[in-house]
Amino acid sequence: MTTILVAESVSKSYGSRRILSSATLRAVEGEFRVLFGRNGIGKSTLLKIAAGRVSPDGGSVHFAGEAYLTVHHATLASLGLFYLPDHDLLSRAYTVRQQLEMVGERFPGGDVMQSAGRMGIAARIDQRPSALSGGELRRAELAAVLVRRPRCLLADEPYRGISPKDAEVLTSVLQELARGGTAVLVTGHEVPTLLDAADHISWCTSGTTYELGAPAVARRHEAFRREYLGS
Amino acid sequence: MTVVSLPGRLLSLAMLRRGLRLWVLARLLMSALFLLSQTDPLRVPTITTVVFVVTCVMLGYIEVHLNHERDLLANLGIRRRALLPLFLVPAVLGELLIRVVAAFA
Repeated sequence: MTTILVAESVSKSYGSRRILSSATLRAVEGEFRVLFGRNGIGKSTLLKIAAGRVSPDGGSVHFAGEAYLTVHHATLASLGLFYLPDHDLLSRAYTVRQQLEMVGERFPGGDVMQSAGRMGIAARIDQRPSALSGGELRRAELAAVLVRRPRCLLADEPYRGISPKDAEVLTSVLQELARGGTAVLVTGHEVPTLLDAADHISWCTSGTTYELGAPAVARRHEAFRREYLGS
Repeated sequence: MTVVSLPGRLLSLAMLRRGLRLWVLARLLMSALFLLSQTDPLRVPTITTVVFVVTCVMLGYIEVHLNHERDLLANLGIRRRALLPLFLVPAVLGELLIRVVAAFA
């Protein structure tokens, strides 16, 4: 399997506060990877750096064989990256259909109605995002991902504020994307769900990252259990 | 590697409509202020027009910010600077039209 995205030896400070000292993040085609870590530890910052959303103080980002010291999110998106932020993605100014069609127009291949149907939002597609519930919004965002059919998906806490049923749908779609060859990397705190679904676990702590490997291996990692899982 | 990305037709039309709406609203407000100060809103000094057009463009970017559209645009492979002509064109054409109207009034 090919590593499509690497944010390597990344460091980042905000003012005098050092968030990341030497963190590395990998997204591998065909794999569903999860980055765990306590709140405020730098997971979102690392994902933003990997997506070209934030410039690192040190380190580099490699995407599809190209290395960048600084890169813009739009550049990586043109090459196949899709980044789901930890806040709502869709604009409140346009309907879900309009926004899915914008994605479909820029990156032809995905089908808007098919993607909306797969995510169960076909009946709400002509609504603006402000009229949707949290779960419907997450599903609408994932419909945009399905229309885009990215080579690499970075999703920052996609499970926030959704029901168990929506979480189930989300997990199955993320797994489906990975099986279809997309490199999927998500953050979250839904430990049982993500440990069951993921192919690979990374752990972000003390400004760095540890590649723990398969979920079964991660479960046995003593420091991870003690400091993150709490059991 | 530089990737040149222009907005698609749907996004361009949406942003042109936004630019036009913002120009109309801002022009109405400016005209009202001119009328209150007993100045002809059709005959505006060139420097005022330039400042007004820049303001209209800035309003477009402020709306992008308020609608949290940064990540959506970037996921479309669009940098925000690519929106500049889409906010600029309605304001410039509108002001040119007003100047033409003023010349014949």
